[in-house]
Order: sequence, then C-alpha cells, then structure tokens
Amino acid sequence: MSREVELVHALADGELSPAEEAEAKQLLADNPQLRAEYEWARTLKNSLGAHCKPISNEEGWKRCVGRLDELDRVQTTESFVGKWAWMFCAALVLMIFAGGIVSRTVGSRTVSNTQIAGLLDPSHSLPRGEAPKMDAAQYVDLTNFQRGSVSGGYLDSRPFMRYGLRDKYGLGGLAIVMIQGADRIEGMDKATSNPLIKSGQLNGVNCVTWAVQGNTCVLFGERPMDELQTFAEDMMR
Amino acid sequence: MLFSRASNSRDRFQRQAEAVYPSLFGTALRLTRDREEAEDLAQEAIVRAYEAFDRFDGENFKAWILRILTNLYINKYRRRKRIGHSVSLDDDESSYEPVGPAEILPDRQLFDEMLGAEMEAALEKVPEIFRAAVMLSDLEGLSYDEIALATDVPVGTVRSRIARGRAILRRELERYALEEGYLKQETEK
Repeated sequence: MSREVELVHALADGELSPAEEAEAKQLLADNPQLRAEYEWARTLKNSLGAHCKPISNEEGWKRCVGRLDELDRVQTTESFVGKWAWMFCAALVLMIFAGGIVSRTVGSRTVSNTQIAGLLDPSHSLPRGEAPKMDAAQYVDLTNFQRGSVSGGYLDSRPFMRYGLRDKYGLGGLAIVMIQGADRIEGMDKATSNPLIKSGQLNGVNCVTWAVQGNTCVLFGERPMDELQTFAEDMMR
Repeated sequence: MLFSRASNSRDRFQRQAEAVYPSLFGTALRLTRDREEAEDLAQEAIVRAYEAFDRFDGENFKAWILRILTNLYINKYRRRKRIGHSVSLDDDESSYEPVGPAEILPDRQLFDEMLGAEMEAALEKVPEIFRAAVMLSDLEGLSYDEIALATDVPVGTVRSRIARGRAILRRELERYALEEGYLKQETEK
C-alpha cells in the first residue's frame, strides 16, 4: 500500500515518469481510497501554498547585506595582498640587502667592541704576508716606547696594526692597535680630562682611544686609566 | 577591471538573493522555529552562497540556495540542538494510517477558511525530516530531485517523506479542526 500512496502523492506533484503516471492513474480509477488520498494530497499542497507564504524580514536582509559588504572588503584586501605579496616580499628583501650594503660601505665607521676584544690577545695575528702595509709613524709617536711584537690584519675590511709595547721603564703589558677607516669604537665613549681621548674597558682591560686623521688608535693594558691617558697624550702628535 | 568584475558579480548575486530572501527566511524559520536562529541560518546561507557563487550553474538560484540552507541546518543547527523530533524513516508505518475511507474527501472550503497561523501551527507538529520535504515541495516548489539534493537523500526517500509528511499534517489539521469546531460546524450544515 505504501508504494501506491507514494505514487499518488508524486502524481499530485507531477513528479512521475510517463510509465508511473499511467500506473498511478490506473490505481486511482480502481481504488476509491487512493482517489481520496490523491485529493487530500492536492488539497494540502494548495492549502499550504495559499496559507504559508514566504516571510519578509527587512532587518534580516539589511544585516545580510552588511555581511556581504564586510566579505567584499576582506576579499578586496586579501586579493590585493595576494596579488602583490611577492612584490612586498621582494621589496623587503631588497631593502634589507641594500641596507646591508650601505651599512658595510658608506655607513658606520664604528668598530664593534667584540672585534677589538679579540685583539687583546697578543697572539692574534695574521700570516705576515697578509698583514696590511701600515706605517705606525704616520699615526702615533712611539719614540718613548719600545716596540715588541707586531701583528696585523683586517677588521671588516679595515686594515689594522697591533704593536706590543713596553714603557720607558721597560715594563710591558701594553699594546696599541691602529685601525684605518674607523672613528669610533663601540662602548668606548667615556669622557676623560682630555676631550680628544675616550676611555672604556674591554674584557675588564682598561683602554683609551683617540682619532687620528680619520683613523682610530686604541691603547690598552693592565695599567690605571690615568696612566694610559698619559701614555696616549704622549703618543699623540 | 578586477574590481568592476567583482562588483558586477556582487550585484547579480544580491539581486537574486534579495528576491529569494523571504523564502529563505521563511524556510529557516519553519525549520528552526526560532526567529533569531532563523535569521542566523538564513544569513549564513547567504554568505556561503556568495562565497560559492562562481560555482553556481545559473539554473535555479532559489533551489540552489535552499539546498545550501537545508544542508547547513542539517549539519550545524540540528546537530547543535539535538532536536528529539526526528522520526525513523523505516519503522513509523503509522504515518500512513490517515489514508481515509473512500467516501471521506477533503473539504476544500474548510481548508480555505483556516488561517495561515493555524496551518503553520499544524505544520510545526510535523517531525522535521518530513516537514522539510513537504515545505520544500509545497511551499517552495522544488522538484523531488532538487529536494533530494538539498536534503542529501535519494529521490525515493523524498517521495516517501513527502507522502508521510502530508499524512501527518492531515492528521494534525483534522485534530485541530475538531478542537476548534470547524468539523462540527460543517456536519451541522
């Protein structure tokens, strides 16, 4: 029976194939109960359509439009970013790269204190053949000191020379480093009584530094700061 | 160029969506029986449809968006609410009982006299799986194939649900007519 009832309802909905339609019509002709069911199906269908209308909701629709606007804004932004993301990345990489180049070539003339700290060790030297050709006499007057070991090399492509020194009394433990193309040592900014000389410490060792013709000299040793300053003043031409 | 194409698509979508929104909201309201939830459901369906509008085949917008709404309801709202109204499709044969004897034919005047609210109240009593099928067919005019797609069941199941849904609705309407005296008045005539 259930299949016949379903057929009758589908007939009322116009949802049958020609063969099924013929079968359903035959059922209606033969069976008064199914004829009644058919009438019920049509009546209910029509009544529902007549009484249960679509429901308008202006406020609800406005909220939907608001959501669509919001979606559009997000999509526009995402599409713009998605389209040009590669360019933003490329620009960023270029900026970093360019910044690096500028910093290395024309930028900072500051030498980092970690680089200088490595020179505290007298054994820090490069093979003789690679040592830059620098004349200490161009920068400092070392006539009152005895030169000891000499080493040299490059700090970020800046040539330097390092001399181990003894004072006029023959006491060692002093060294001077001359660096071309630098005018400041990071962390060596403490003022002294001589405005040309700055002081500081590297790995706990006292240092004084001063600039000479766009280059920098660093004198350090296990001596009091004022004594180092006196030596520095003596070396300054 | 890109923005004008996007704006064109938005205009086309909005025009069509606005035209079917009352149907969409009505269906949502009759499914959820809660105005706020119905608004949320209809809005969610609109948003999903807009996001997928480039995949719309252009044939029947109303059927397409009602399918989205029904699927959303089935997948999200019904799961969340765990409505206990669902009826097993396989064992509720009593739904066929209202097939009346041959001499009892429906009184069309009686149904015409009924108010929309009374019809809505009777429809509410129909378990949701049958109600959805009857609504999509009789209120929204979807074909069985479209209802099958919307509710994610075979066409045979749709046919069965509609027949059962109408049987339950008929029973509810008859009960209501008796309670309100419609049938009594009719017999008195």
